[in-house]
Amino acid sequence: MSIFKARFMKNFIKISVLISIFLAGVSCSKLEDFLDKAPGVDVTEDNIFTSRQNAESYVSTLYQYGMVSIFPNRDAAVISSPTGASSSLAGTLSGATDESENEANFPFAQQWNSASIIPGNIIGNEDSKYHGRWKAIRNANILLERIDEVPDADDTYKAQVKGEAQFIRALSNFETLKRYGGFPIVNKRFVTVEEAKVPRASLEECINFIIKDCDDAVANLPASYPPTLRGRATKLAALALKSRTLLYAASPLFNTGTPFISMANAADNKLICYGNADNNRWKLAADAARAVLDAAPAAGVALIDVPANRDPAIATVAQGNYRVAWERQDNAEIIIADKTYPASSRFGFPWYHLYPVPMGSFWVSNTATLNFVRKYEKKADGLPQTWNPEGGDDLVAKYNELDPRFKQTVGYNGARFNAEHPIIETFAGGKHEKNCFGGAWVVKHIPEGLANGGSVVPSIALYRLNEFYLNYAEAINEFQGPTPEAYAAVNTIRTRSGMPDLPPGLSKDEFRIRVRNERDIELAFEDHRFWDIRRWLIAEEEGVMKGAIQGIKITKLTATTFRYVPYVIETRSFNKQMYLHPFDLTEVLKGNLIQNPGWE
Amino acid sequence: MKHHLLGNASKNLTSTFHAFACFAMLFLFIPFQAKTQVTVTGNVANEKGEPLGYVTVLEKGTGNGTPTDDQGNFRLTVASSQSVLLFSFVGYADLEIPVGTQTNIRAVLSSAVNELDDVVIVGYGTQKKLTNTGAQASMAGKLLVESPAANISNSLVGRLPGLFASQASGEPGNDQSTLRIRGVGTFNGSQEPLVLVDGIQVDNYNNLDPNEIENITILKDASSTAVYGIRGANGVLLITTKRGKAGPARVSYTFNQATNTFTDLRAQMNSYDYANSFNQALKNDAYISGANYTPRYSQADLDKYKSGEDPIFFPSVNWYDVMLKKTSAQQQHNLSVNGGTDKVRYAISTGYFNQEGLFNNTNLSPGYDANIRFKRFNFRSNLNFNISKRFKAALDVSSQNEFRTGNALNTQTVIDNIARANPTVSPGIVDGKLIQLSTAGGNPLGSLYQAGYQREFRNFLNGSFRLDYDLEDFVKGLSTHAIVSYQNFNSQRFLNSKPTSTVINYIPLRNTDGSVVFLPQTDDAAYSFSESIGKNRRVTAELALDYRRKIGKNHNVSALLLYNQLKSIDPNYTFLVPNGYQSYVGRATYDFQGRYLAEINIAYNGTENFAPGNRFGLFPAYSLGWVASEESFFPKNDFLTLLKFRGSYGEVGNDQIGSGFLTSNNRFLYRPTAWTFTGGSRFGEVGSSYNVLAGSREGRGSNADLTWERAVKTNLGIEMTFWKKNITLNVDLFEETRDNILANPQTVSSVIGVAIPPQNLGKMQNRGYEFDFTLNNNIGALNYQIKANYSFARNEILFQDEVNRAYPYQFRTGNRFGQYFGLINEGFFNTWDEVNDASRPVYGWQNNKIQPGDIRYKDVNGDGKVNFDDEVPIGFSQVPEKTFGLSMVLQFKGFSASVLFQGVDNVSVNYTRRYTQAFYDANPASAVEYLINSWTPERYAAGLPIVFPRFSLGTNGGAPNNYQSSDFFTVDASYIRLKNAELGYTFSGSRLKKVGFSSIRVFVNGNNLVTWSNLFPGVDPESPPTATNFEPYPLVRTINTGINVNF
Repeated sequence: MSIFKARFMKNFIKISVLISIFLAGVSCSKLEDFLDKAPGVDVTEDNIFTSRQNAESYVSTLYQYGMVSIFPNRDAAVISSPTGASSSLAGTLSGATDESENEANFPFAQQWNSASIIPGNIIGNEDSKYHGRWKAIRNANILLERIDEVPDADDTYKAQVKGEAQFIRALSNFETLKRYGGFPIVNKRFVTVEEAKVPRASLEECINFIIKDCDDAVANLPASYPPTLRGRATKLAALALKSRTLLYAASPLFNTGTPFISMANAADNKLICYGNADNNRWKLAADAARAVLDAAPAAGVALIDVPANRDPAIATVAQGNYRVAWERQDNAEIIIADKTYPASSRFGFPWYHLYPVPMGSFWVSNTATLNFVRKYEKKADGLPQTWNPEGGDDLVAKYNELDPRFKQTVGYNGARFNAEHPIIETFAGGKHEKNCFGGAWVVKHIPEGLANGGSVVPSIALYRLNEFYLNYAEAINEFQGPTPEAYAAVNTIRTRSGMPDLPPGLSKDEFRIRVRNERDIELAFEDHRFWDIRRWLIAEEEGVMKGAIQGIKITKLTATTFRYVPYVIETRSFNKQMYLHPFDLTEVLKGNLIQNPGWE
Repeated sequence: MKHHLLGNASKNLTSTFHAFACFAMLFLFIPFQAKTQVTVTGNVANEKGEPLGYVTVLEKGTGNGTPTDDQGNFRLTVASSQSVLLFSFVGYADLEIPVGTQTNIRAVLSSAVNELDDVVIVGYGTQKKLTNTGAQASMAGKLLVESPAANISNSLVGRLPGLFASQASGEPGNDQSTLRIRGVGTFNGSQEPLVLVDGIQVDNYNNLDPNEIENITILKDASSTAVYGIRGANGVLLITTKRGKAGPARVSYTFNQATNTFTDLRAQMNSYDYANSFNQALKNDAYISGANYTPRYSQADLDKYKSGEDPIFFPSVNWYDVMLKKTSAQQQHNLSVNGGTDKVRYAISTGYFNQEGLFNNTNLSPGYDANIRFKRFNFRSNLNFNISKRFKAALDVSSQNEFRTGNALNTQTVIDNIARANPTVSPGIVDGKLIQLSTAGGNPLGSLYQAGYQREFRNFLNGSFRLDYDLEDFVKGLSTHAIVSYQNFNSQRFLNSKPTSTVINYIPLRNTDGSVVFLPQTDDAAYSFSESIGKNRRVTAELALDYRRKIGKNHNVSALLLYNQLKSIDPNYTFLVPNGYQSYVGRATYDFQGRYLAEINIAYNGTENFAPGNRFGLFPAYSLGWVASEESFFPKNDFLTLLKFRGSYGEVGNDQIGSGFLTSNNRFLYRPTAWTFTGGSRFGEVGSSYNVLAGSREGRGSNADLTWERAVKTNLGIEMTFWKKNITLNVDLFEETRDNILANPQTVSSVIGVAIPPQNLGKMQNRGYEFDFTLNNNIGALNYQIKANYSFARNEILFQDEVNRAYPYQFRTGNRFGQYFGLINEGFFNTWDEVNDASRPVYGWQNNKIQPGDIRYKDVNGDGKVNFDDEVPIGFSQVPEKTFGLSMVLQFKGFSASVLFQGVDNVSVNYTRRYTQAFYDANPASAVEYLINSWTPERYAAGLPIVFPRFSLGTNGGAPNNYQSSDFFTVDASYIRLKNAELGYTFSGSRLKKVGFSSIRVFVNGNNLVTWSNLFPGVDPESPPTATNFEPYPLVRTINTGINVNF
């Protein structure tokens, strides 16, 4: 036994020696050296705030994330959503209103027309930027938190960046507000996930938060920039945002004691309305619009109004005041524009949502409905055009009598589309008839430069000065009736497009109808109509977002005479809960959002 | 063989070199020996004394041999009295008898199951099967050769308990199966098992020649996988290649010639049915959208489609017939030489495999070949050297060269284009011209030509050098070994494609006299050319001390201490950083008289995937065993001859957290949040100063605490043999709990405005059981073997930070991973009365505009609304919980036959829209023929069978109600398949030997022969549709004839 033990001990020692050699051998490869080859992190947040140049890059991204386009699909294309949700659907929101009908059935507007919106599909069917806006707000909050640390930045620059951050934060919040009502107020950068459990604030708190940001931005921002920095937020842009916010705040959707549908728990109604109706909110809205008009000259912003171009002939339609104001980039009327995108052809954003397939695109565009064309007054007397419900053989004459803005907006049969398609043919058998349900295409937003394969920069205005005349007129009329100031504001807009003044002596209600019609015409296809009809609570009216949407079928009689016959393109559905968007289902399930009424 | 090699010599020098090297080696190692001959006669019988015919009697170490006759008698002339006779027969253990002075030898073969001598392959070594305590399963390499499948993974289906293999595609060169060992253990990390060939970790094993393989073993429990530590949690697949056996050169040549056909293809509606159904769909959809119904096809159109009188303008084309071939050819050659001397042993194998795809080459464009052609050249040389009594070395060199040519579109896109093309879009090819009726596309030929064609060459070169030194003189039982291995991969791809606008097509025009002319639409253009290359390499090094000793009479001990490191260099890895692993492995085993068994396995692993300090993990596993049948009290009987219990418990890891970990941006998740200078907005005035101002972005948040997935596994096993070892039965029960699964927190509100880093928060459980059963027996001269295996594995997600659901049944947590959720269908709405019934629930989509022909769903929560809140778990997941295999082998004299049935259960498939909805997609798409059984008022009125809901157009607004996730289109995907069958005959005997052959075997076998499932025609249960715009290249049925000649 002891022999066995001794032998075992001897072996044990030998084995121990071997193991030691083994371990020593393999340790030579230096463990951490073998593994530690991870790359260094070149840029951290601290690097961003060590120089003005780096900080400026973060400001550039602030705009990329936070600027708003009037073309919804842009948003998902620029920013991949932090949660992976995105939209692949095309088109503008115009097709969900009485302005137009898409030429195909896949754009998301069709989901609104059949009332097929549900919480599970809202991100893809309108609000593709829901998640991106929170990203923009975080970007703004980080800038506000840290811009003071930048060593080589002067106080003027720091104030400007703060103003820009406040503007983008307010803009993002306004975009949420107009869709959903009250939202979670995010006024700082969240470090832990616990902090992100923010409930919706009341509508009033949200509006106050936006207005506070606008006021701060006005104080911080410069009146203008050198031409190389055009596109950045100015005092006037912040004032414009404030005006639009207060206009929406004063409108019936929000400015009421009882919402269009009560929340499941009535105590939550303050999330979607003020909880009382206060006419003084129209005064605030009017003042804010007035402030924009008053501050415009100092910022070099003015209406495009060349008297000779108020009513251009078809041959010179491109020079029309109205058309120049929407077509020419960086024109004097623009307060701020979305400048995120480079030049692109008709096959790139945003033109592929606008350029009709029969003109040589492949995606989708809009056809103007009869519901919309009917809104154009006759330029001779400012009275509504009469459209025979049974149709008639005088289509050319009817078109020729309309508001000069008509030919600068609608691509009707016989009009000029561009150099590539000098005469639009939407009559039966015509070259551009296919899928032209309304009987006319929309030319507004399609620049001449896209003809023959050209590329154009989509520098699309977010705010133009013309809107604020109409904001002012609407608000002042609601506050105290059709005052001379209200008349003057609307007539300024009409005059520059060759339309007669509004008739004197209108009642408040009559004036409201006229100013709303003016808005529909002047701001057509600019992402206003959808939101206006919701804030006015008229979306449910026949022919607005509900009921029969009409177009015309055109027959060629002779070379110069065409017959039109109105017909129903489709019968649309609208449910009352569609006055506000549903919050995305997944976000609601996370537990801190209370869903809007009718969408639970 | 030679022809092919030379034919490609100009294309690739490397492969030519390999071919020459191979032949040179063959001659180098064929030894020549002198002989003094002895003739022996004898008889072979089984343990019951029954004579065994057709037993192979070989002079050991030579190719000299003979089979026994019907009565078990043999006569053989051997080299000398020192020769040893080797008796081998299916189902029986090999028996060796030295000739000595005997001239008449009586051999008794015992049943194959001989626990005492059987060895199992384990991680970093081998162990005696009897005393092994881990859970593993293995199959002999020769079973791989019974299947004409192109690659190994497809031959594993149904063979091994605990292994699930599923083949998703039949595309030549890209038809490998997905493997899962014991189901799915993680819901986010990699589920792929670790694969090692001869101890070296490999990324691609499917391109090995099946003839090279000796054994395939899977390791399942913690005890067997703990030595792989951080990489072992998903199980391990060990492949062992053939090594040389001493003796004169044994040359074996095998040739296979096979024909492939698709197992199943869909049929599409003809133009008349198509147009008719399309109009019906328009009419149905108008009700929802409010649009007016205008038929797309007029009555005159319909009449023309029906009569077929105008095949140019009103065609009815079956695109499957146009685009696909009926059959394609496949060849395989293998030449191998095995032999050696005391000093050197060699096993050399060269293989050639050629498989053609089933795309039709329509000869529209000179020099363009649409069909997929795949060629593979294999070479392997395994050499063993006995340098001295104590010192041994092994050098393994292998190479796989693959050539793949064909059209450059993804084959899934090609198949999808075929499936989507509607029968009216074009008359196809007329007078050698591609005719297009509409510019709206939808013609699958155009996109095929436009994408061009590609040629791809891939070379894998692997070398491994091993030294073994026996330290017996230093410490008894001790030995050491070292391995260095180098793997190299190079690929080269040539692409020829055409510019978008230059696909030649013609539009037809009808002249006034009724004749038709074809006008070209575009000018042809030359193919453009591009080239891309890929490469990666890996170096593995290993050093080990191995101790094995019997102490006294009763104690058997063994121990292993091993160091292993590998470094992989791949340009696709994130930031180009190589991937490294380090492992320290320890193992100790003990058994007392082969009765009481104990084993400890430990790995200490490091990986750079985690922060310094978090890199190394310790993975221990413990196991115990008891061989009850070795106990003295255990009754010795013929019924139960072995009874063994074993159990293991331990921990293993998975550092491949998240899919594609090494190439994803998760790879260095532990590093601080990185900001990037990217993007930015534009400022300035258009036309003068409009420019991008460079932007910067906050990256995704970081997770410094990142760590591996941790799997705690328990296994209990019983091994039994019955009836004189003719029956074996093994049963295993297992349970695994995996935590630290890397997953995105789901409950963080998006108001935080930044991407939240994934965290090690998930937890999942996986448990089940498996058994395998083997019966070997004979009826007279008919020997048969039946093997059956059955596996069950069910997983459950225990935690994943799920959002709060309104109803308990909606939670994904608590269900199996990938559990389908959906509504419960209750048939159709058949009448307007049913639709307008005021008491029916309100439907939460398409604005509640339901019409007859729509699917009726159950209002699960009874709230009067049918919406997403009514979705409940339906069916299972797409990974089956039950898998089984049944194989039978018969041998009668020279004949042999085998079949393999294989199947799965507890599995569901969710049909993509193209299978369930006509016209789905733009342009519009085709309609599957079986959809003619859709609901229409006429069919309902006539009482005809109705299988599908009403027709609708597939884009927005069509019929969202009918295509909600529901049990209507998420269905049972279980199946049983006759996977494999073989019939063969072996010629042998003295006459053959006179002309230089030792044996010749001819055989016929087939793969994917018959399938029984309940799925729609054209849907294979193994490769169901998974994405909307992709359709798998269908599986192929292979019928093969072959010959194997041994010299």
